[in-house]
Amino acid sequence: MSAAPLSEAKSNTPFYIATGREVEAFQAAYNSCLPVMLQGPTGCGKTRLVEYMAHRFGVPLYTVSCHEDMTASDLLGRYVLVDGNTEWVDGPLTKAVRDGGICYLDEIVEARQDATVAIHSLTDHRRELFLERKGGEVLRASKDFSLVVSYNPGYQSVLKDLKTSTRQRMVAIELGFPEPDIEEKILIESGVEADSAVALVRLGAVIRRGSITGLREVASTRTLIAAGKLMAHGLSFKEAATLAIAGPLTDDIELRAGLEALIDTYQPA
Amino acid sequence: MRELEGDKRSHLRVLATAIAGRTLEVDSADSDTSWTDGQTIYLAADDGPHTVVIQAALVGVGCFATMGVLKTLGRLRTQRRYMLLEVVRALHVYRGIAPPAVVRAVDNLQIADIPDSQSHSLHRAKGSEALPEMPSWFGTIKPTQVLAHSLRHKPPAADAQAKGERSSSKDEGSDSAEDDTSEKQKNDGAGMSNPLANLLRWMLGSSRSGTTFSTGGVELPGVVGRVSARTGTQIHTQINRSEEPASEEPSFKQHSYPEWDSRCGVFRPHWCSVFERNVDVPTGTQPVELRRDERLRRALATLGLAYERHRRQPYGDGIDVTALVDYAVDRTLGSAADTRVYEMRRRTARDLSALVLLDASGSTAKEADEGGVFEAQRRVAAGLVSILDDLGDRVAAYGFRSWGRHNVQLLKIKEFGEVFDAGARRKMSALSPGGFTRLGAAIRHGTQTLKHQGGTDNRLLIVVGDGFPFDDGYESDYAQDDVSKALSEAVESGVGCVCVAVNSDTDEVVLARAWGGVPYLRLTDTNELHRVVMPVFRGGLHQAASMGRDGRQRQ
Repeated sequence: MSAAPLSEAKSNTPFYIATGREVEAFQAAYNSCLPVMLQGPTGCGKTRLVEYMAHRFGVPLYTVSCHEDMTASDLLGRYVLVDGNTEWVDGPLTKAVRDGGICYLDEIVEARQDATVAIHSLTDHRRELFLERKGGEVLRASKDFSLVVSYNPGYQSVLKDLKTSTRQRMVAIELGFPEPDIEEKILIESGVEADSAVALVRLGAVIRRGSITGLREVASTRTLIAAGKLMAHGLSFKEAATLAIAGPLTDDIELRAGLEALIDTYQPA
Repeated sequence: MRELEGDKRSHLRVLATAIAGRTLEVDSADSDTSWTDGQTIYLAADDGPHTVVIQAALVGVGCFATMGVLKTLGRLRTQRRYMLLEVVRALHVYRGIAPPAVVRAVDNLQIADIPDSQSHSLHRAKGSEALPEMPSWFGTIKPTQVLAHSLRHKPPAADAQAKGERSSSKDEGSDSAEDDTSEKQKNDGAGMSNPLANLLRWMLGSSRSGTTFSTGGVELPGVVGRVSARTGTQIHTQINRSEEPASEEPSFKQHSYPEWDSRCGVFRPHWCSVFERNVDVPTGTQPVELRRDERLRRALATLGLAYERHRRQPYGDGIDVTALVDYAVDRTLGSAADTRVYEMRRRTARDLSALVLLDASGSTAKEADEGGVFEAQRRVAAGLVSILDDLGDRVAAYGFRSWGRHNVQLLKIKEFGEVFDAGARRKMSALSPGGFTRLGAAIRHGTQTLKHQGGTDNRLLIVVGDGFPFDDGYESDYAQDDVSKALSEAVESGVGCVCVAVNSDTDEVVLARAWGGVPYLRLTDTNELHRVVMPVFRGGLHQAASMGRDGRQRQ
């Protein structure tokens, strides 16, 4: 769990290139006080979009990476012991509701049901947060408050899905991997040379065709950037792409060797 | 000629498959020119990955898709010009995904006007415009080989038409300039257009009791003896086919499994080859229909549960620290305190992985009434998969069939990591019955898949089919004993096994021998599944739980 204070976020604008109309959609949802659900494959830029938007609105961003053991208290806050007395400490969600800001629940399906239920009253017209633990205090959300969750529908290993009643309250913005020319721009902006960027983008695109069976995921924009960064630090194209792209995709030795042969073919000339 | 190393070949397979967008094999060519038959790229010794990219792109873009076009490619000059233009077209289509080096090489040919279709390429190939010479590393195309290959892999329905096309292609092939060096493949192509599936179906339909042949473990003679009197020449074709099916039914990975020889009391090691294959989904296939069955859903909801922590309980076997702190806070504040400060573990979490094996062999197609047994089985399988998936269980579904021990196929409908979406449901629709039932190998592969990919403590293998084992050299006692052995291996390793048969007329004696060790459900009305399914499924899981040590270790 981390909360990025406003001052830090302001110092440099997060780099983001829109792949569609997601920035406008996000803006409209924010202006209408509607919660946003970002959908899209791992590593396509969901988190980066939220960072970018928070910076654009000039509000702090509270990011919570949801996990299985997260309880409602982790979101809302809890009493802690101080000098033999108890003292209430706001959780990230409560902070964002009180002071304004974006509360971003990353991979919300990972969270336990009782944690997701806590956001219900915030996501409809009431925009209220009910702190049962704190003697039933009711907080009205600041006008700058916005709730954003991310959700990757293809991700099935967690054996669960978002409840329909929760989903219904959201505006769904779907993100995909960027078009080749945009992805190239993103890579170049991240410090990758133009030739290598073209090669990496094509490599990513061919893996995303999905015809290679047995891969865990496809090569995301994030892995392409990672490969590009490794190259910037002196690794060869093949080494970098193998480490950042092939490695994370499979443990199968044969398939991995196949991917390495594939990568070799994409060597920028 | 240098033989392409097996390793290198399999590595390039990934490249070929990635570019073409469907599974392609890579093998070494007999000649010094690379080419493809649409299924395998035959790579010459001097050629490398870039040639694979060119050939795979041709396959992917559908250069070989229209028979009519291929048939008119008589002369070598036209062929080469056509291929050049198609390469340019393919690399234009795949510009965004092809390796930079190959894209540049094709750009360097400097063909300004890029063809936009196959027929456009053909038209220009036959024309007189000046085109550059094609680099030799592009390889070549062999239209008649592609035709022959696609005929071999046509479904029975298209057979009559295929025959016609084949003969006409041969007529024109007389002046064909194709530099054919691999006579072997050509011979394979000739005479392969028999309606095999119909034959197999007829065979199975006519004698299903399976007690006439006691020669378990001996291959082929049984099959020949049964049909030769009636069908004469077709038999030879069929035998040829089953002798080398492994090379004809390529797949990404081959799994080999032993088979139990009950007469000798030993395993035959590496006896069966199992291939996981993709289901070909014809365009326009509708996803399999799902009926809402709340009763079945309720029944299955209680299956395969694991312990889960329940907090804030009025009593329990442990203390919920958070609740206790709250209690202390409330008491200090002097307000009414909630005394539910315990936690307990109860069986409420879903902990089940299930693998559904749908019998897609020819025997299931025999009944003509109301869509037949196979339709009913497909409905049952679809219902089970969708409900278990919906309940949050890990579910995979495969169709299975075989053509002899070298070619046991598991047809991927839904793997564990995948969702049961329209695509998966289309695959389930597209399954059509054919082939035989080498049940033991299918069960062994299903068991391995469950053990490695299931990831839960409760694991259940559900065979949807009549449970009657029958294949080339795999019948009566020998086959039934192998099934029984495969099932007990599975149960001992912690995988529960059950069989759901719909309208099956399988002999009780066969059932007792093959399936006697595990629960078997004989269903006459698929709407009654919810009433009878639980004792069977639960029985299967209990067996595995009580016998399996392997599967229980983590608890």
